[in-house]
Amino acid sequence: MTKKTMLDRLPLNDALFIGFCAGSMIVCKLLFRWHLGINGHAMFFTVALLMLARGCVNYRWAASLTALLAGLMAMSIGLGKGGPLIVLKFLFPALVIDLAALLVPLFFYSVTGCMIVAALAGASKFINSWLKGYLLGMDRIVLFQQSALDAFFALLFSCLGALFIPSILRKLKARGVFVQPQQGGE
Amino acid sequence: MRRNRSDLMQMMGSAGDTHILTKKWAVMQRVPVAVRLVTCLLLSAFAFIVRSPEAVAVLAGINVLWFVLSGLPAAFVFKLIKPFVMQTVVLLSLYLLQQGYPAGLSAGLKISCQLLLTLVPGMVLLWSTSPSQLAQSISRFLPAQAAFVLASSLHFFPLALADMTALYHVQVLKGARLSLRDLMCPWRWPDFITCLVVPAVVQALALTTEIATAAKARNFHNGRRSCWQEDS
Amino acid sequence: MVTLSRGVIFMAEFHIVSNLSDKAPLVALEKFSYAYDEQDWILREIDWSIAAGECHCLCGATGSGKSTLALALKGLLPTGRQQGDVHYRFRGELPTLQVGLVLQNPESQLFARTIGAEVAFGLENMAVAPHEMRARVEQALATVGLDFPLSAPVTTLSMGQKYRLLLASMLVLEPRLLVLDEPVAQLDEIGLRDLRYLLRRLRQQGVAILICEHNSEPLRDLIDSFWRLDAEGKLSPMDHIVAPAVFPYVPNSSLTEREVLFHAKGLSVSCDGQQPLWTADDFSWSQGQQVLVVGGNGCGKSTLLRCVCGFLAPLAGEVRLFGQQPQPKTLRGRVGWLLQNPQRQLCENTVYDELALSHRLAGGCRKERDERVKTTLIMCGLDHLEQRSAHKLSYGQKHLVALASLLVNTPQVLLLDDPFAGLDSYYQHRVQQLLHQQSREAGTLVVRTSHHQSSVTDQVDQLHTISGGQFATQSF
Repeated sequence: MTKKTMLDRLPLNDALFIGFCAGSMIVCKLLFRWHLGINGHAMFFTVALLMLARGCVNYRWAASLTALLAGLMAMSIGLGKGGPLIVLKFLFPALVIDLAALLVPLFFYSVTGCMIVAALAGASKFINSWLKGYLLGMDRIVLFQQSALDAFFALLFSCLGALFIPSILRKLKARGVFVQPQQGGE
Repeated sequence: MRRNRSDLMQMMGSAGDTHILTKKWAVMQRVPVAVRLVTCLLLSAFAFIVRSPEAVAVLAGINVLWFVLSGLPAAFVFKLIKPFVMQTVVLLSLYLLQQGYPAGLSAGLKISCQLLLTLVPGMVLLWSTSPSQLAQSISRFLPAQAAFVLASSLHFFPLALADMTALYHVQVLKGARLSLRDLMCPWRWPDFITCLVVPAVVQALALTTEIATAAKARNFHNGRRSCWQEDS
Repeated sequence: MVTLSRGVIFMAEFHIVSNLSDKAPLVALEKFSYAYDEQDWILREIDWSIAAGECHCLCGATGSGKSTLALALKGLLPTGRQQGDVHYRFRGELPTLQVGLVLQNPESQLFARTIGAEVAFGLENMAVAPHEMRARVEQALATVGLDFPLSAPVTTLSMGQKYRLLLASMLVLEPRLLVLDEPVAQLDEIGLRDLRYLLRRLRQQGVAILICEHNSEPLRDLIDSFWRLDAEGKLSPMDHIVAPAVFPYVPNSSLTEREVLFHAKGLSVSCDGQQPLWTADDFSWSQGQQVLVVGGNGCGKSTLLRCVCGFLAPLAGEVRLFGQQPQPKTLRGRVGWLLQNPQRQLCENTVYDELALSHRLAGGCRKERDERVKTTLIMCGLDHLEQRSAHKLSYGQKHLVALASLLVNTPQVLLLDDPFAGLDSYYQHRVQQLLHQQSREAGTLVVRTSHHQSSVTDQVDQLHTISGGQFATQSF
């Protein structure tokens, strides 16, 4: 009997919805290139769509898969800074969201829960920036300040993006569009 | 297992192949994409390792060569540097505050260069490689279902967008305030969610179900597949 | 060889799939029942079979279970409750591979950029060797009469050609049973004629055909047996097709005195801002008129509606709505647009809330809201559904709710994108009645689009036809 891969457990329609969320992330990044010079504004759509993907699809790593697909799409069209490393930009917040969903699945339906997870997802940019700067040999204090600045804006935009996720998911649930499991997912 | 490259290649296709350049010295165009990807990753990795200003300068020179041999036009240099301007300003300011002048300036410039050099090889690779070539390389490493999802998400995205646009028109006529300017007012966000976001998500879910059913009606499955040869 | 108009050639070549004199069923359902998760049975104890070369038609209102039955035959039902059996007389481990299924929406079934790749998609899924694909793809395309290079983009095809491409994509897999879900709604007259010819040939080759269609009149000469799925999910044979209800048409004699609401001068429209879809002579629409715009899929009917509302600028000429250039923001509540699949535009959880939302968005007074909503619900016959979830109603009821959410503001203009598509005769009658009432009593300009014009049900004050790049006007 053929061993089932991880993807076999993900129904094709859910995989396609994840693909649409990933595509939406890229389209929003393209459309809303706010030339403010403020780091982190892209996190608004990134976190919102990652949470939407994980909230709508009953699959343990839905957000991470969305991030991977978004990264591959961004690479394909040459979007963003960093080339192939753009995948990591999407992946870190996605992993935070997936892990939070594993531990507290119902956080999606609570504004406080979503804001906390979004803040953590945004703050993952701190780790990303800190790690990069540490490997580059940055001055420790400057490294901390730079990472904190990057993370601050990312955090702010992430929280904004997550603000209405509970409302959206409640309305979807009321329509009987999907049924979310109580624990973790497939 | 043979991967299905045809669907990703179809999706990208010749219409998206704007990065194929014909300069004689663009030797990197003749190098396989996988080799270019490895080179790009190595160049990025070196940017993390170098410490002395001389080493940074040498690496910068190698990256300039990488840029030139990739065949990108000179105007792309500005496009390359522009995203890093703000970051460089912030870094320099922090270093100057921390270490004063001139130590802070030289240290800040060195780190900014290193940051730039971690990301430039990747950007040059993506701008100098056609989407179809990239898609072909990516699909080699993806399971059939993932390759199909990647291709179909992009292929059907315009359809989803057209559905959403029709919905937007209907709701605007009803009186919903959905323009970007209206959305600057937070009290309009609940109507935006109710009138556009939720119906759009429902539409997307319905569309993905239709697409999945249609694919399975043509016997699609996450297993061994062959590949249509477009050019033969 | 037979030559049809526009140089389409059908070649009478297809594998003979069975002995035509063998009348044993190819597929049989035995006491088959199915229910989606946590819902009532949608199919109940279905006994049905089809033999090689036969053509059956499954009729029933939208939502009665026709598509569910089609999915059952292909083995694509989602998890739910199932009883009974499906028997196949096909060889091979997976008999459902020999069932071809063409679903309702062609746009969501076209996966590739080129014609060759589209037809080959099924062969790729079956891991057919690449060197074998070309011949099979070419044969399938020849069978349906699509004479295009394999590298031709799919986007250049008309809707009728796209439907034939989908058929080719199924036929390349050599199905024994071909199931078509609501083909009539996708095709104009020429497309239907080509489909009739193709299905006739397939029958001669021994392919069994099941057509799931609530409007089977255009294909009746092909069909051996009619079946009906009722509201309870039971299947029974039908002797005859029920003719669509005829709504008594009353000409509006006072139209010449009415205010002109929309005027177009030298109008030409385009999707891409370059190539015109059609050009028109001057025309206008007045208060209380019923207007019908007929044209094939993709001819520019929806583009016209977008120009009317100001969402799209005309390529040439000018339009005036309420005496000025249309601006969508200024049309709040004055213009209502009903999409072809109106459940897409339902937002709220209950029927009452849906109408109340529309009333509020259009700037209606809060004090009047309750009375206005209730009056509209009574007018539309939806008062007994006030607190029900709009999303759990039948297709026809959802249609009425979406229409009611527009009528609650008594719009001056109503734009309807093929409003009768998918509706059974009862709900068609209800919708026609409401539209007629609105135009005659409230003076609403009602503009409908369709890709068919039925001589009996579509009696209107003004008819426009879009064909060959021309927008023609005919007043009655």
